[in-house]
Amino acid sequence: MVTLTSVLAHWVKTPANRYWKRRRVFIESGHFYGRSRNCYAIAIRRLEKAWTNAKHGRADLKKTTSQTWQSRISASTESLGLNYFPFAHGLAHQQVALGKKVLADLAWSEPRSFRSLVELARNDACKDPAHIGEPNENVILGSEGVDK
Amino acid sequence: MLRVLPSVARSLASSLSVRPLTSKAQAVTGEIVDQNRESRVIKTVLGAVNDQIEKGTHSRLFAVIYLHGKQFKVTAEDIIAVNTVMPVGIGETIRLNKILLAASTDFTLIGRPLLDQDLVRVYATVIERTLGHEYRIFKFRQRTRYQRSYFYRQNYTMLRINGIEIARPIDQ
Amino acid sequence: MRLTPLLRRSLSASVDQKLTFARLWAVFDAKHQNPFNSAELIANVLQGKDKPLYHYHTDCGDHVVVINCKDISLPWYEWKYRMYYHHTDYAGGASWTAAWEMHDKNPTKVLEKAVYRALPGDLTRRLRMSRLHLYADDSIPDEIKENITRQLRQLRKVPRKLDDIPEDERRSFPKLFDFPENHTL
Repeated sequence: MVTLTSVLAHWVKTPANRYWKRRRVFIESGHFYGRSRNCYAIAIRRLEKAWTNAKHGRADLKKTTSQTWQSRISASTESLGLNYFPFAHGLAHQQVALGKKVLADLAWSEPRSFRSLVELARNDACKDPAHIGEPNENVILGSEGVDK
Repeated sequence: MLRVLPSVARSLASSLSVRPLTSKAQAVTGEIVDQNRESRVIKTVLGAVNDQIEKGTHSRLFAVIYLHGKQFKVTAEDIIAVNTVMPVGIGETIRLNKILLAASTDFTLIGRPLLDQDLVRVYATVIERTLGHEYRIFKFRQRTRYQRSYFYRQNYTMLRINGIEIARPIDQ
Repeated sequence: MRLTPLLRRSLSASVDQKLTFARLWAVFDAKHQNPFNSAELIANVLQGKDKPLYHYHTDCGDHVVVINCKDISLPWYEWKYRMYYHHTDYAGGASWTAAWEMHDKNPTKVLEKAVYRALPGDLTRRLRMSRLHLYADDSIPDEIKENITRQLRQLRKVPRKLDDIPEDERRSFPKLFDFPENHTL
């Protein structure tokens, strides 16, 4: 019998190696539907696809999160009578460097501070007067509901 | 007559600490304005805010801090996870200098872009340096038998915010 | 250094939570409105996109009650040229209905189809459509009227027609000249 070093030990194909190789895959494919849960050849193909999807999903999450922030900010500014882009432009022109993440957070949790930011953007003197919104007078009760 | 919303006065007053006011906003509306009224309103607002700060009657403060390229909205006793290895020992207290905004229920101080370092002070303690969950970066190319798995864990430093305080009246 | 005191959590936090996600009812007057532009506004409210809590996985949309659907206004010649297609799946079963014809049969149908198109085409579409209440005129049942808490702003102003202006106001309107008596228009 040839004794192998620990470096070359994985050359030996034993039933135990086969078992643990599959075991590692089945642990991760346990929640799949049908034979891709239990049959190794199908499970490993589905799993490779799942890992690739997860990689793309991590990148997409940043985009969708950013979109959600923007839509939340937009909802709050429009209830105060100013659209998103004049608001963002006004803040940038006033050298306010708050990012989307924090603005979206302020929009729902700190309505008073957010309102002062909207007024700051609205009163930005260099803004084109055509883009300055007016408070929404027809609305009986705004959706912000907190700060009257 | 100029109608000044409380929130407008708030934003005007907050902008005073860094940059002088312009009266261009009034030119847009085209109304006849009492020139002294603006300064009187600002004086009243500043007085009310300074009064709260001196007596400590303002409600719980929150601040927006800039740290490691990201912004965090924090208040006292918060724990924030900073996605980096900070060269600070565990248990050490640091002061966060870059403050974009500090506010309470009744007033908002907006930095352009940063507030004065002597005005608002935010302290934090490093409580943990840890790693995030492990994830697999799987690279795969069709028909070339190329596949690689790399495993990665993000570094995190956990900070506890000790407190936020306004050190002096805001118009000095 | 003075530590700012901890704010105690409100006892009514669970009540606040329920109120935050409560469904509001909005009313929209469709008189003289373009149904396809209005549909985008209504679809946003049905999805909850007018709230700072909006998230695409959260069901946070509101109810919308639309009144005066019979008075919508289509641009250009769209009453004549906009066609609604239907197929019965049998041979020769295709049919095209013009917008004016559809409006004659059901005065809320044009707006309903416009909102259905403006909503995202996922499984939530039918659920959101069930929160849209369309009425041909301005008579709303009382059980729906009592829920309404806000009004959506119209996208364009309703013009005054000549018939709506009273006779004396029409006569007192300044004239540049009078036609000669022998002038035939």
